[in-house]
Amino acid sequence: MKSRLGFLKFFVFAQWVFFSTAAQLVVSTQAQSVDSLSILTYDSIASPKGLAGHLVPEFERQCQCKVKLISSGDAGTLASRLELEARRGSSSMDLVWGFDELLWPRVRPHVQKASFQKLAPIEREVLGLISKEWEEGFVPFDYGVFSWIVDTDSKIQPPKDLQQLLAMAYKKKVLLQDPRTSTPGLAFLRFTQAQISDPQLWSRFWSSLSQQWLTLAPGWDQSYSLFLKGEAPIVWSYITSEAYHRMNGDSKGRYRAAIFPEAMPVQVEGAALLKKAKNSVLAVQFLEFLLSESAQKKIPEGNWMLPVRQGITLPTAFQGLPKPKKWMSLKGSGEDLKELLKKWSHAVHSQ
Amino acid sequence: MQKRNELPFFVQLWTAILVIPFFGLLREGLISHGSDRSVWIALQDPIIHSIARFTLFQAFLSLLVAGAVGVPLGIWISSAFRTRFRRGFEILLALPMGIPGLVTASAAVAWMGRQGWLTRMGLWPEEWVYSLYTVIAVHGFWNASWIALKVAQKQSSIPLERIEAARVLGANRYQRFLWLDLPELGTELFWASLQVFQLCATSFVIVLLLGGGPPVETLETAIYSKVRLAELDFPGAVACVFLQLGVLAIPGIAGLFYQWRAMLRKSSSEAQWVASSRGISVRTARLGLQFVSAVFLGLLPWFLAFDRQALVKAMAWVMSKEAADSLALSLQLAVGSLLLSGSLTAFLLRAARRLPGRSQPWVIFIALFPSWVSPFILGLGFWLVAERWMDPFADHWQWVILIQAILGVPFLFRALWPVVGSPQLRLMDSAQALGASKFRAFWAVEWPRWKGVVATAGGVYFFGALGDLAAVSFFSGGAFETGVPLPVLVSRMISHYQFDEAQGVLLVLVALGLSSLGVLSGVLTFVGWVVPQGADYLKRRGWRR
Repeated sequence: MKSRLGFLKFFVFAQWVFFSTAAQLVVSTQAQSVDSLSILTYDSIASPKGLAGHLVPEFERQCQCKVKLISSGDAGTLASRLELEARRGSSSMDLVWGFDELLWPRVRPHVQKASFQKLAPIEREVLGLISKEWEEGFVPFDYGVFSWIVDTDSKIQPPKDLQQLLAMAYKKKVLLQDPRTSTPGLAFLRFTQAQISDPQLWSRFWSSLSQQWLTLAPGWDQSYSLFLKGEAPIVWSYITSEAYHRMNGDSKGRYRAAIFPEAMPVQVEGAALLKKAKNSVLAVQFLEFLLSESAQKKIPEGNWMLPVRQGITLPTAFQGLPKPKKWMSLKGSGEDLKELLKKWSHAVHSQ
Repeated sequence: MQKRNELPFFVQLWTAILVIPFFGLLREGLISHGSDRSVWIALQDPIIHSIARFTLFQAFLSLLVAGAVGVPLGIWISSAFRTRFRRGFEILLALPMGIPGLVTASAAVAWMGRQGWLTRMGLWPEEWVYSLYTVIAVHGFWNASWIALKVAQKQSSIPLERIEAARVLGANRYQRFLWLDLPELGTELFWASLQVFQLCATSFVIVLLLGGGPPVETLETAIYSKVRLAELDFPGAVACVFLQLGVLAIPGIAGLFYQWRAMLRKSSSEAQWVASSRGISVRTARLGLQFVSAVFLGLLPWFLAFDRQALVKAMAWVMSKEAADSLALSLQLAVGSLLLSGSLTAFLLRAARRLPGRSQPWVIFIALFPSWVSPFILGLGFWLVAERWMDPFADHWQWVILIQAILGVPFLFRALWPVVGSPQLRLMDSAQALGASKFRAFWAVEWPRWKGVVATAGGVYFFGALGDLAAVSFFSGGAFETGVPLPVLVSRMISHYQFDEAQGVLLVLVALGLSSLGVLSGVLTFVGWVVPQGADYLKRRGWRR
């Protein structure tokens, strides 16, 4: 009797799980039948205070449709989720929004090869970085120049080049991100690869650098939090971090962006139409909207990045930020990255 | 006969639930990618080997620190567990287990960072900042209170008559500890140590943030990177999972063997309160000191992570609509997880208690199994299997609850097994011989013993579920109709430079977790009072159980 009672309890529980799941499926299917657009993006964009919060309500008003944002967690997992979603066969997404050149090789197989070059005039430097990708369906919507952010109260001079980072003056004064878990961290790794072409020198550089950094944070957020707590006077971030501080009362310019004069890596973020998009028309409308003047004006304060469209007037805090002479692209194949990370692991473990 | 049929069914069901994620991972790692060659190559990677060795090394050192602090403190504080303040001490010492990793990391920076209190006072050498020393110290102190709690609980359950008898027979304090206390503490200490070891071995944020970068890292980092940025390398991830399982499960299996042998020797013990012969003022002073120690270890360190600004932001945030939505959603997920995890644990405890001796270690083994797998991997495994039938991005709260519940079972099982696994059979028999029903005997004899442990374990688990990000980030597309769970909200705020706001939300989360410990305790006291009353009422109305 007790055995049956136990089974009955499980049966009831299983029923509950089944029906509640089924109910959710029905609800989500019904939601799909309304004219709606499903967008896969990362959490920072999807946040109501993020770029989506600034752009989506306006787009919904324009198109008289409903936008469903599906967040992948952080930017790094966007491609992984896209690949897993694509394998399911019955993708419910129309658009992917927020990948960069680093992730593009993994995103490309899942997007429609369509050229959107006529949508808007793009900044010349950005175009130089992703002209080939744009022909393949990569629609750039913002970009960010990586830089050091320096706490000038510490009186430390920003490094002029990579080799200077190894000087005694910077010992335990620099905060970096782990390239295995963070996009800025991976961008810095790529940058060093581009700047130090000799593999042995590159390996030695990283081996020495591992003695220099204060810590290698898992993400940009943790490293920046440590920086603001005064743990180290220099952090690897974006030039727009300076703009953030200006907008939030740093009138004396305590936090300044510093770049290497010769070249700096640039991250270009994009959106793309997915191959299995059910609502391609609406998706293309969204891409157009993303590059429209009104949307581009909201990029700086919505995503703390810079707009790609030419002729957009930036908010005061974003004006006068340093610009590198040479813009360095982050792109490379997935295999290259895998190999690069392996070499990096050997280098930092060999000290 | 019926009992034997019933219990294996649940055990089999639980085993099947655990097999699901591994099936998903193995399918991806071995089958979908054509061959097992990549897994084999990854297993031979010397870097992965060195990370595995380091994972073991740092977890072992962390455990030593936790034990060195926790065991003496637990023994010293155990006398307070024989007073009516026991619950307060239990809550204080259990609290750190529920503290989210991010809060712990912030608190560690506030104490042992370059600008930390201890560093500025010269008590923490600057060359130790962001190094293995910091990681070990943080792991050690974070977990010491748990070891102290388990030791104090066990120590206080040793009958004072036995200690008094040993004293009368001439045993000095050292001999009493060696021959009387230590054998009793052994099993409990082993399990608490194993739990701490596993937590330290799977630590991720603390190791990466405070360790200063490679070589201070754990296998969890390798697993994370293989399914994330540059590659979707399932074979590599599966290889790391195998290694991590080895690192974590081998001590666990050894522990089960130890426990099995200990159980054969074990006899049940009863806790009784006997007044100390010391004066009231000495006892009060000692109790005060014990309380200060518990506060220092269990409460104070974590609140240093928050400054006045965090409090101001917390107050402002609590008044917003966003707060109401996020709090409601997080509470729903945590309550759901607690109920499901509690039910699963109750079934497993029942099975472990009723099954014959040889089968019992198997039940314990599978109950503890999820703790040897990282939350990340468990989530990924379920995700890979679930994707075939449903849209994993569709914010299925059932999956969030299921993952959190499975991850909670080992914790609840470990916390409850010492009391559930050693029933007061003689007292129960006596109560029944005096005419009490089995049900009434349980509420009179067993429930008072269970209540505190259930409240503490449940409260801490609830606290942990509130701040858990792993399951939420896997099964939430971030588009819950009303709000987002608190950990996701914190992550979003930080990505928009709202560091103070994020600290405010974390402060609310910690306050909520703290209060949940007290609330659960109150609820269980009420249950303990109302259930027997209800039973008596039904009995008077002619209902017989």
